[in-house]
Amino acid sequence: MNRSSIFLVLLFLAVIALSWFSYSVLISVNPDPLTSPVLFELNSNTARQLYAKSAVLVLSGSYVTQVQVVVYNDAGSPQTATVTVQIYDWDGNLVSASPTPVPVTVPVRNIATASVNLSPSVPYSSVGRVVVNVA
Amino acid sequence: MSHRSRTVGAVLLLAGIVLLSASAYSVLIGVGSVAQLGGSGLVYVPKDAVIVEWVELRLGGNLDASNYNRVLVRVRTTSPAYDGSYTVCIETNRGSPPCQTQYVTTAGYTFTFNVGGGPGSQEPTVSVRVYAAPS
Repeated sequence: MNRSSIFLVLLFLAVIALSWFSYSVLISVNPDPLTSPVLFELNSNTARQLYAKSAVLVLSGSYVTQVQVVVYNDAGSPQTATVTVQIYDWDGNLVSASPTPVPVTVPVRNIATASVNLSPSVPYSSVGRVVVNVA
Repeated sequence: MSHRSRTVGAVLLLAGIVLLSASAYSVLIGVGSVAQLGGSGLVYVPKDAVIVEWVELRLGGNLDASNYNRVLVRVRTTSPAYDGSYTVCIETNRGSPPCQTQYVTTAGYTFTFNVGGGPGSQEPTVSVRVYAAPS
């Protein structure tokens, strides 16, 4: 193999390496076109006139550790609502939930907040769907 | 190898580099998730760059109501590096109001979407899907 052939082989390898580098860079900057599509699902107990009005994700660093749920009681007497939360990832898998239902007493035509701890905590980047149930 | 061969090889290598660079750049600026934020040039915006902290259903300005005609969405960035203009869109039981664009920082911004009053009271299940993309 003469020097000219060696040079051409090296040139070919250089182009391959450069192509690989460009490809790896493109892959790393080409994620999902949306930064944070998250579905919040607020389930109320309309028969008991208990309504889920709000869901607040509480983060510790980049992890969601708790969900605070505001419940409204439209009935004519105080009621105790039980609140549960489930977190699903982007593929629809259940990744976290409240270990037990959290009771909260809601005054007449007023609101109360239930703080529902999650087990385990989940990184926000994996949160695709937050389901709140007020029963 | 002759001087002429080396020159031709160098020109070919240089042309290859230029073509690959041009190709990479054209793809980069065409990718929707790559945003120019805060004058910092092309920035990769991952899914957890923007956090949807909470959603809230309000009737007028009131949270304590059995119905709603506004959906409030709180959005913040996770780092000043991701501060910038974001377009936030929602899909709900009551349709998809027009998307809104605002400058969002780590301090957060609350988007208010009008969704109409709907019949009677709040639905047993209210779904709010939130999208945020750099604009």
